[in-house]
Amino acid sequence: MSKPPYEKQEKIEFASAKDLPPTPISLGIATVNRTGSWRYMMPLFEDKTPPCNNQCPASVDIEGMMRLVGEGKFEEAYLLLRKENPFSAICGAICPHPCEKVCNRGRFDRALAIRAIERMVAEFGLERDIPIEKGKEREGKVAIVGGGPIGLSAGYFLTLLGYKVDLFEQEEELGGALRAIGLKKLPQKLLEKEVAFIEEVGVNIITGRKLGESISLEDLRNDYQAILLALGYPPEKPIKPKKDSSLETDIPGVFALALKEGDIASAVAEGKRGAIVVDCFISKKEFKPEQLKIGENGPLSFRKYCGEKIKRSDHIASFSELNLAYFEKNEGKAPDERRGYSPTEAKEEASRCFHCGVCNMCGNCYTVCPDAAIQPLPDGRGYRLHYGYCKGCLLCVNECPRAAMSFKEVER
Amino acid sequence: MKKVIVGNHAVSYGAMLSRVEVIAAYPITPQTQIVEELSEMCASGKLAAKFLKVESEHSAMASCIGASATGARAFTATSSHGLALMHELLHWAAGARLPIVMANVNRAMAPGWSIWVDQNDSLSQRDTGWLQFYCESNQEVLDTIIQAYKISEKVLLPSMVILDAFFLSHTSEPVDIPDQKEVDRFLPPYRPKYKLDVNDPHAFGGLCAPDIYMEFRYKMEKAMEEAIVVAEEVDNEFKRQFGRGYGLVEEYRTDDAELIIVTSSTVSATTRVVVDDLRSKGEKVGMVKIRMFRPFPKEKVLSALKKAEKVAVIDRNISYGHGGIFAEEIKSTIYGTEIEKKPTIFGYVTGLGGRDITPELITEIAKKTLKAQKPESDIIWMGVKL
Repeated sequence: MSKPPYEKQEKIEFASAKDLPPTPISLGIATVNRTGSWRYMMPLFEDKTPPCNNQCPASVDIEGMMRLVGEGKFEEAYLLLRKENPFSAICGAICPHPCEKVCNRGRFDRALAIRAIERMVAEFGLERDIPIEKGKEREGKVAIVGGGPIGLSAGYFLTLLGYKVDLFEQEEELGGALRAIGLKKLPQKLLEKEVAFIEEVGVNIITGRKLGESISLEDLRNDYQAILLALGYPPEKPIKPKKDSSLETDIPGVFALALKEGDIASAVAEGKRGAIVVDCFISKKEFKPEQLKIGENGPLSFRKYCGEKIKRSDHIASFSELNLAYFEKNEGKAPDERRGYSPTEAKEEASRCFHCGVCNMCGNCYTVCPDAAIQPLPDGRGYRLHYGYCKGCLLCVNECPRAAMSFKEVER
Repeated sequence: MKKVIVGNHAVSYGAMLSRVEVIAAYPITPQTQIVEELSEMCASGKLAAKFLKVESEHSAMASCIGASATGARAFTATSSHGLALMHELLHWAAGARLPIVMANVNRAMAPGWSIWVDQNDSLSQRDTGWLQFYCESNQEVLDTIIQAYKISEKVLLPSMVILDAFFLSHTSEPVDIPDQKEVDRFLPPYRPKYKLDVNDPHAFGGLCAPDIYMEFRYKMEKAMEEAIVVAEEVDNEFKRQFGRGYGLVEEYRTDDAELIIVTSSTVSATTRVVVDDLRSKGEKVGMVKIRMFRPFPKEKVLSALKKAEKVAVIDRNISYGHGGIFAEEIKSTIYGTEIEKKPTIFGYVTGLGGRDITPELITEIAKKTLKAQKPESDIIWMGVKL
């Protein structure tokens, strides 16, 4: 897209009839007429939080994943998933998928089968051993006690942050509570694969070591800058955190994680929280959870913590804010419980996504703007509104299928 | 090449020889044959024009406006209610300064329904900014179409070429159809300075605030005034090349006339016979035929009419509440001029709705006028069954 023709132009003045063309014809360009001064309403290009993202305890960018899967970019979708979730494959099998319950498409025809798509994407990545990008290596060493989903998650995120992580598990096998889930629901192989993935990312796993018996907290405190206790739920906790959000215990440098509700995505979220708290402790930063949340009361985002700019307002895009005229009823194909989706089926299912609140460059606003005041950004990620010319007709807001445009009144 | 053709087909031939590029028309009696013939010309490849079938006259004129704005030579034909339906766009075509040429077959307005001739349809469009030519013969119709393009494209105003329902539209006459090569030499392709062009985009017909609107109207009026000069030049040029000229106003045996009968359209042909007949009986009668009604060729009308003491205007039309329209135009033209002896104007309204204007009727008008000192009333109705 070439540069928008907004360069300044002098107003053409006609002194007499002789200067005029025979009939009213524009001889310059209309940019001299700054129609933006007529505005009473101001449209805003503003991505919002899709309800699914807000609802996912693991803070997965579900909408982003749907976009990538819909375009057949499975590897990119996999990497996006892994930014927030080391247990995507297991989530794809057993997560209670609160995302699907709030999917706006559910009120239109059928909610997207998000979990089945996630499973397909996770298995796609695991099969191909797609490598995960890690942060720069750091000095610090962190010990994690407990090889259940919380401990493994915390180890995963700390490794991504560049720490050396030793994870101690009392049993010979990892997985903790996950191993208590029936094999029908969670095949052993899937658990093994995902634990192997976490190990491959770089978490050093030491099994058969029980706190208080073969390892002592004192020894750990000598060898590690921080110790994260992920002893699970509901076993008794020898050391309780002081308060829920900080996870700190009475012993400096020792943090304790606990989970009140026992689903896998929440375990991932708790592990993530632990990793972030520990990093803040080691790098002497204040832990500010309110800056890391997705949506109005949503989960902590590891991407946000890593400094990724997620330009979305906290407002949750609701069903009533969508312009349904742009969507056709399409119930698609529900996934087979056992087999899940093939990549082709997942792609088709993901294409049903409304992308609630998130611009997908459909071009409606650009097309309907009577003042050519909306131009696509050079990187193809969104639009620029030229307020010098926007008359505030709000056609762009009305014709946005997915509520990626907002507006406010202009005070005069 | 001479052919015996109806007036409607003379229009078609005139358009074809002018190499029109876009034709958009909707059929209406008594115009239909014009469009039928043109559609066949397009279908057979005789005429390389885009023929647009449209759903109304309003759309026909809108299409012509669009086509003309792109620089194409556009043509349409209509009649009566069809012309009335175009009214809004007649203003647009003229205001946009598009040299569209249209044939209008004069037909009376309803109710009561009539398909026969009178001039109220075209005269109702007097103030839309279109040039108007009223034709006497099929030959004149064909020649005027060609001339009209040349005049219109010079002054950038549209032209209406008008012929009488049935008396011309459906009457066969021998017509000399000029060679295409000769017409091409006379009428070069239309090359407008401003046109709709995707490679050079401009906005057309935009909002004009009060500080600029009037100047466009002033320019239109100036173009109308220029059209009088241009039309005469074009007619002279046409005469040099094709041997036929019509003038904007034609004088017939007026030199020593005591009475001049003012006519338009086919009434002129009948009046010639009456003038000859009365002359042979010693009456000093002449005729002035007004061919160009808009712009109104005031000077030519004046210089012709000042020769006589009395003027009888035959109006096949009426402006309700005022009178015959040609008569009123003539009266206003004469008023305030410095002619020593202003002729007395007798305004006759007759022939409405296609009622025949016979030699006997015109003779009666002549005799009545010669006998009277002054008109008995503003409107002198002829042939009304009272």
